[in-house]
Amino acid sequence: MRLGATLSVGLHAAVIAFAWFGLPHIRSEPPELDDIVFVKLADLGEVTNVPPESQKPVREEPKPEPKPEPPKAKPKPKPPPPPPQSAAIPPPPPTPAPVAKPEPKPEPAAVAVPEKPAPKPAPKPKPAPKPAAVAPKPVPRPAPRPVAPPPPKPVAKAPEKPKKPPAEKKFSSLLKDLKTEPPKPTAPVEPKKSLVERAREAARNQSTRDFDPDAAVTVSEIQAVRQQLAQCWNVAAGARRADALAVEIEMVMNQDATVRQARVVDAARMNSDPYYRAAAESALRALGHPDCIPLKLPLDKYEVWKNFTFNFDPSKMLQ
Amino acid sequence: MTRHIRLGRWLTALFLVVGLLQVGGAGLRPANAELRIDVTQGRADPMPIAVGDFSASETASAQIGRDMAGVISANLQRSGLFAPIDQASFIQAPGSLGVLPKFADWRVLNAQALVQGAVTVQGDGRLRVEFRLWDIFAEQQMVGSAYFTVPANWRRVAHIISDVIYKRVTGEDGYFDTRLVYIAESGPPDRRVKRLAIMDQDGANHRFLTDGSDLVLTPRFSPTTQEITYLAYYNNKPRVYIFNIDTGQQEVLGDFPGMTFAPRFSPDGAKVIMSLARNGITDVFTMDLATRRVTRLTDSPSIDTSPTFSPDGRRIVFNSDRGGSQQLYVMDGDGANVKRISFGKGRYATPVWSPRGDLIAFTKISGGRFYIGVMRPDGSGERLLTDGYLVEAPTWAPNGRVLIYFKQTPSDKSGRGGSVKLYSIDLTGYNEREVVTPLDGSDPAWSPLIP
Repeated sequence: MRLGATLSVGLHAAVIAFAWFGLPHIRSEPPELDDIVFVKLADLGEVTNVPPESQKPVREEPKPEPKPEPPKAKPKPKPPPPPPQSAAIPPPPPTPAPVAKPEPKPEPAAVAVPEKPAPKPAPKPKPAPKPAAVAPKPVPRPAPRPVAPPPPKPVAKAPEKPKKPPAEKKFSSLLKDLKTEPPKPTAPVEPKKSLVERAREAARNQSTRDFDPDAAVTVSEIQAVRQQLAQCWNVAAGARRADALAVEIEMVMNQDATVRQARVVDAARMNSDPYYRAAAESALRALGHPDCIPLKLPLDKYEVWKNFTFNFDPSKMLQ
Repeated sequence: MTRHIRLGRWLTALFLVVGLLQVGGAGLRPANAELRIDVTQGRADPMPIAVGDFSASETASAQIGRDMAGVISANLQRSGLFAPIDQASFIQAPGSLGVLPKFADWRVLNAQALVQGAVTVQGDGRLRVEFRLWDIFAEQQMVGSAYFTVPANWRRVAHIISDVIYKRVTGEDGYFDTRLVYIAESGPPDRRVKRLAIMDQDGANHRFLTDGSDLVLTPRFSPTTQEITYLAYYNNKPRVYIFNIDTGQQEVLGDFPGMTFAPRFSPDGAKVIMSLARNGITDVFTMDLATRRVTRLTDSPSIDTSPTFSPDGRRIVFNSDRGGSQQLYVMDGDGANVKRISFGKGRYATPVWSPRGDLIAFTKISGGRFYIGVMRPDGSGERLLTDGYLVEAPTWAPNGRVLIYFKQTPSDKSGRGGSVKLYSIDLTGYNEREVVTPLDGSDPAWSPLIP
């Protein structure tokens, strides 16, 4: 009886002690790990994916072929000679569309209005043949694209930190505020960048044709593309409703990471909303910018990014 | 029977949904999911644009073609959104409109857009101006149009073309085909001559509207652009006047027993809202221009002034010291629902509602310095764009994207060295530049787009 009580007390005490000392220990560790692992994991993932391939030192290396593509800018296979918008260009004067005449209108100029130079010209802008500046304008679309884009998503989160410095000033916000202006930190992003660079280099050097379907594009690889485009994309600062001007573009890519086709998903809105059209065209211009041809995608993972979606969202820059 | 069919359809739909869900679940495997890349960072550099001289077949119009390119180029540059490329670096002349540009040659210059134009004199003496805007990367025409006008009017057509380009690229209406009125100041501080003056938005076609014998202040454009309302001390009595730009006619707006000031038109041009001061109390009134009926909107023992309508005419923002210090308040168009919106440190004055309705610009005085800032109509999102020894009186461009205000620099003890100049700044706060006027200038007022 007494023994039982003693045992019971002792065991309970032990359990409590375990709970007391053991649990905090367990609890405190994960956060630490989490922090560190989170950043590295991405890069390591990329690296570890490579070794198996490096085991076979001899490769046929079909790679170099597509490689030398960078110089040429021409993204679209569009044959240059046939002008794109046949409607608007041909020799026949552009917009012959005669305009509302601003009849000379005698105008009692005598009224001592020296300034008013024009007798009510009202030239009336004449919207030309309406070139409907939509992008390449694709044909049907063979590419079967599943709608769900969940996995690569983490990207949206990670890179919120200081950005690359090249254009030192306007990166965090395009809108100046004297009060909160102080330090536009050009934080030490360097290490990360070089890591990305290295990872990409590695991928490039060791790329082989055999495709690993499980090799997703890593966070750092996506980040490289984002940074590349940040240099090419010109955002119209101060636009109205900038928070609602995110533009989705469906990409069809060539193997050398040049763009075969870029299509604005919401084509209808492009025709009806001039703000959206301006935003969409700025995104398309970014994709046509010489510095963004080709895109810095891991060439060995073509199967993954053969078709993908860009989402150009200026809202974070314009708050 | 039909019932069964319907049920069958529902079941089919249900299966489809379930199937889709499964596919979606499978999509969690990276290999199957479509890659999606969010681009949230970009640059805010001006867009490189090549503006070629407008070609002309006759020597007479050749000069006009060059001048038009110059005006357009200067307009675009001033907006801060475009960076016109030096014509000296052009590889090919922009060429005639009938030929497709050699896009590669323009890409080498990093041009993203190209403006081509042509000027021809018609048989009847009128000018035919046409232009095209090209997207260099996409190799497509973005917009093109033609205009007919009298040759003397070429400058205005250049402004209109600038507006078309601006609108096509930014999605926002332009503001180049506009004018400014302001108070031109000259003479020593103790005998300052102040004249009402008007000019094009780019400084051209400058002229004086009054001779300077009477003091004039706070001019404001009517939405119809034909009229200006302002405050003048005629025979030392301060009164609100209306001035017709075309006829030169002036008219006093009501004869009140006190002093009227801070006038502004309502968005429909039918009313003028202003302050009336009497016995140390200042309240806000409106006057219907057709009936001359006066309506009192505020009734407090404080100073309520600088009223402005919102663009829909339903609300009014003004500043008042009813709470102790000068702050901004918003109320309904009939004076109800007065609500304070500014809560920052310092005093707030001269609120102006943006023509696009999303912001209110103001002058702020804090810590002995003046600021020009903007906030949303509910008082949130206050941002200070610029500051100075004295900066005041912001006025909006008709597209609500640019402000013009005046900036005074301090003078030395003997009263010399100080100057008052007009400046423009865009909503980003980064693009600030002087609006050049022949004399010193203050109290600017931007016109709507000229109809």
